[in-house]
Amino acid sequence: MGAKVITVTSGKGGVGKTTTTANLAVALASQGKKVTCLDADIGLRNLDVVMGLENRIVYDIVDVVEGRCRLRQAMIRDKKFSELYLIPAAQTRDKSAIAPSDMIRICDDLRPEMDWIIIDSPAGIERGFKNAIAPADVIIVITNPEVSAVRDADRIIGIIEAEEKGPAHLIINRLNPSLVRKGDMLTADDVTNLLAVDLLGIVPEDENVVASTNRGQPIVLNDHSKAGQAFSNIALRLNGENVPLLNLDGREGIFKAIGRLIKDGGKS
Amino acid sequence: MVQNKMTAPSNLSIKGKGENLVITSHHQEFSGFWIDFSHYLLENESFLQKAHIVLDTRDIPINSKEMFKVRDFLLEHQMTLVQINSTNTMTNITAGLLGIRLFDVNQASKSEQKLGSKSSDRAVILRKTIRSGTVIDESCDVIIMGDVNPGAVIRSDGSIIVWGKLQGEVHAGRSGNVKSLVCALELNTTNIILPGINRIREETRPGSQKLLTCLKIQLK
Repeated sequence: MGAKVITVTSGKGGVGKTTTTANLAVALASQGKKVTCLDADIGLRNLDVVMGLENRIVYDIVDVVEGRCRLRQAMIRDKKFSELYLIPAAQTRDKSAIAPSDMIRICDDLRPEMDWIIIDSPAGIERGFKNAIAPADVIIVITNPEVSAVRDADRIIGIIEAEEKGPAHLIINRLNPSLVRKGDMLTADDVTNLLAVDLLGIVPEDENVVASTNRGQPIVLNDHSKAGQAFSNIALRLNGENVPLLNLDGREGIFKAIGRLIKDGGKS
Repeated sequence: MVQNKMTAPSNLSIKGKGENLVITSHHQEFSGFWIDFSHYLLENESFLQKAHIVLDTRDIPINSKEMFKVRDFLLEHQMTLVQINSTNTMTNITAGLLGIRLFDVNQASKSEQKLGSKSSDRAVILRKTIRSGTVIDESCDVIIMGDVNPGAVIRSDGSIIVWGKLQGEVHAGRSGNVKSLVCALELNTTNIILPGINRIREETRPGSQKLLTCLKIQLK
């Protein structure tokens, strides 16, 4: 049947596209799928760092496009998952080095052998973004629950719809329930009401993400992390499973509280 | 950078204007225009590299797929589409949705002025959310069945009616039509311009106080 191509984009920079790309890729691979990630942020590559593969780069996507290597030579196998690959971006070139047709050709070459191809889009709406969405079957828009990020996500969704690449799917990243309760952060409903697209998942703010990025170990590998669990659930939804959204309220339900009291009372 | 006249197919006129190259089509439909346009640009590709193109497509209806074809073709050959001049409603809406600058109505040709004189009989209805960065520019009334998000711009010589939330910028009665009005189910816009009135709302954060839902000029 061939792989499905997902492009992860946002408009605004720094909202979590690369983190989401890496974590979704690892989550899908851990669920038994064959996955290739493509870093389309030419000139500002980061996906290799987040996946911990920066020391294994020999060739990059521009080398493939310009014929200096075969596609398979540029594919870096992940350290943990043998069916997960990365094609890194070039660091010394810019977005004009490749065209949308090059991205389509590369993805078409990969489709027969993979289940998923995930493209990490650069920020913005210019050439790099256009390259990234050209081969997409599914487009995931990442936003943070803040006004400026939502504004840019709306712009991006408008362009996606105008290019008839939709419907886009939304991931709300870095939701902080305590800030939401105080009224200092938009709620998930505020965001989805404005953007009016299908919500694929909500990833809570997690201080462990920074450390995991620095170590090159995506947070989805951390069983104790709610952010990791959220990414796993999103990967399951992409595979068609009906997984409810995590309870991010941080407050216990009454039955859970009673159970905890009984358990603690039994101990004493 | 650009000469004033270049050899072109008979149904295309080419003219340099400032920093732009204005290509005017005399075709009736997109397919004929596309054949001549693409051939001409391919034959002169090396000369036209990095050119800024203004397309005057007159009344040719151009849908979104066709407009992408033009824009992406120019992009691949290192040219930029900066503006579309059109008297066709579908073409103007498509260009607006793509964020491509449209012809300035204040410099309208006679044919466009004829259309504008009948704007009170016509209305454009859009059944969608108008997203940030989209510009809708019409000589007639505009009715939107959906929301107008912050960052969207709606301009009309007539009225603007939004059956949803209005949070973008609106300019109704642009040519001085004092009968024009702005209506919305929920009005929370950053900028409303009606003849003689220009109101910018400073606080547009979620949960901020709603304004009146309908504005119009009352003549005594």
